[in-house]
Amino acid sequence: VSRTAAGTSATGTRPAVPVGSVAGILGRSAQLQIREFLRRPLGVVVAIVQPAALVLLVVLVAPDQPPEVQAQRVAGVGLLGVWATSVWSAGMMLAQDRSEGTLSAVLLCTRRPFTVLMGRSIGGAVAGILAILISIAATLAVIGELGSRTSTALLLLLPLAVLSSTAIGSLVASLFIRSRSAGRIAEVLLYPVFVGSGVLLPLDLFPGWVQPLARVLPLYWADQVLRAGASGEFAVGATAVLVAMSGGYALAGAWIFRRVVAASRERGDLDLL
Amino acid sequence: VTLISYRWAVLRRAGRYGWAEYRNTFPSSVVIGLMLPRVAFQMAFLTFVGGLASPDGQRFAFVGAGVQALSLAAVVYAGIDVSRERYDGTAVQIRLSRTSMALVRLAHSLAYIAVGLVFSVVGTLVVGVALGYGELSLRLVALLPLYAIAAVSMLPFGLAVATLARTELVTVLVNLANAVLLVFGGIVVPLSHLGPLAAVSHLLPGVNVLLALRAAVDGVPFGGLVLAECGVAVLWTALLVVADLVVAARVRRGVGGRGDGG
Repeated sequence: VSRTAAGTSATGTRPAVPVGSVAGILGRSAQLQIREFLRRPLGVVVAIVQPAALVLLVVLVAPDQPPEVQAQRVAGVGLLGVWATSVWSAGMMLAQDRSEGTLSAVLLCTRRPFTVLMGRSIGGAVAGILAILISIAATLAVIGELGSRTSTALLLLLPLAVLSSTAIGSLVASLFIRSRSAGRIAEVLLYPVFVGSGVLLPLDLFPGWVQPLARVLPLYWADQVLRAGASGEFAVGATAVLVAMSGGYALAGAWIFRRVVAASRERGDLDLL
Repeated sequence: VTLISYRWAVLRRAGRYGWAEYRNTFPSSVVIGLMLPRVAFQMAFLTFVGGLASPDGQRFAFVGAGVQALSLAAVVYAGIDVSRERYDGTAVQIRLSRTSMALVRLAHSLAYIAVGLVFSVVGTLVVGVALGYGELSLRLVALLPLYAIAAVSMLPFGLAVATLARTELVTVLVNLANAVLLVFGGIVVPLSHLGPLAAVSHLLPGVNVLLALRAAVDGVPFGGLVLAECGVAVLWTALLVVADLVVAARVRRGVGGRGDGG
């Protein structure tokens, strides 16, 4: 069988993934997105420049804080970076497809396009999160604040962050398919979560109604897992909620994606958006 | 006289084109519905980050966040415009004109000064009221001319960085420049926390105006700081002209894939 997932063959290379291999499609799509990440300067800004600046801010603004507080804040910056890179990566992947004329090929391919989207979300998450970790570690090394607590927290962050970031990315990308202002929407989605997720800023700073909103974000639960891990515990409940919530976001993304694509195909306006 | 009037006409036209391009790139619906809320949330976030140190730190960062909002327009968006000119092929045409490219770019980007001021004023009022700094925000908005000086100072800074950057890296470098202002510009982190770097920070655009704003709010004389900021604006304008000459030399040597050194 020589056919392939159309979404991964936009470069015109010889088909390599046999039809029917979901894992193959996910892998190829992830690979494509990682290449896109390395090729696009915006990924560098979101995953490297912004976390480094935020780490410097939170460390320098209150340098006399105890090391465990600093470590928690730095880990919080890492989680916010995950949110930023998920939203940006998701927002821009389909926008770029549109501008390069490959959107139709992705959405009308022989395999489920959502599988391609999930693969690309995984690729975006892995590339972005690795870049964030490198950026934060390098920044901490430069300012001499790289403690074992921070390192442990950052390593613990990795699998949880990939999970939640992929789910958020697939959901957000589904919402962005029909928008020409994906970049601006991504920008406006970043800071409310930075403010009200409870990851970096304590939730008791805000009115009571903000707290339930924070709990619908996977970031909040990832932060709970991290905080427990920092004190040597494993938060089973928070981990379960995080996994379940990520699954729920991915399912919601799949449902929205199918509806939006079906609507666009009925109207025949995919390339006109 | 004819040449001067010709150049003046060119610069006026560049300013009008810049505004038209801005309106085309950022329609009012996007500005009101997406960009202004983003600025307000960003300002709130920075204000709360300042609060991680102390309540005074939060108030300190609130004033700084208003100046940071200027940078988003005058450094980041104006800088990215430079790469757009290169992609569109219009940068080469500007370079071949009889008017200095640096001046044309400044005139073309004046729209971003206006936009930065709108960002700053709206963000300061909205966040100020929301976080209990209503009176302070009104006093800050009354100092609008100081914000304008900061924006005028930031514009050549962003354009100089973008001019020197290779086209593919303009977005990264102007965002990096914005991050430098955020971290080392006294926005959230007091300059006293920066050690020896604090002396260099005074050469960054907006820093002296920020100190002037805080002095004005505290009732302390601030005229010297405003003069220092004007000096910084002149310095960065001169550096923009030098950057332009460097790129012109690069173009003459045939370096750069887009005919404008990029």
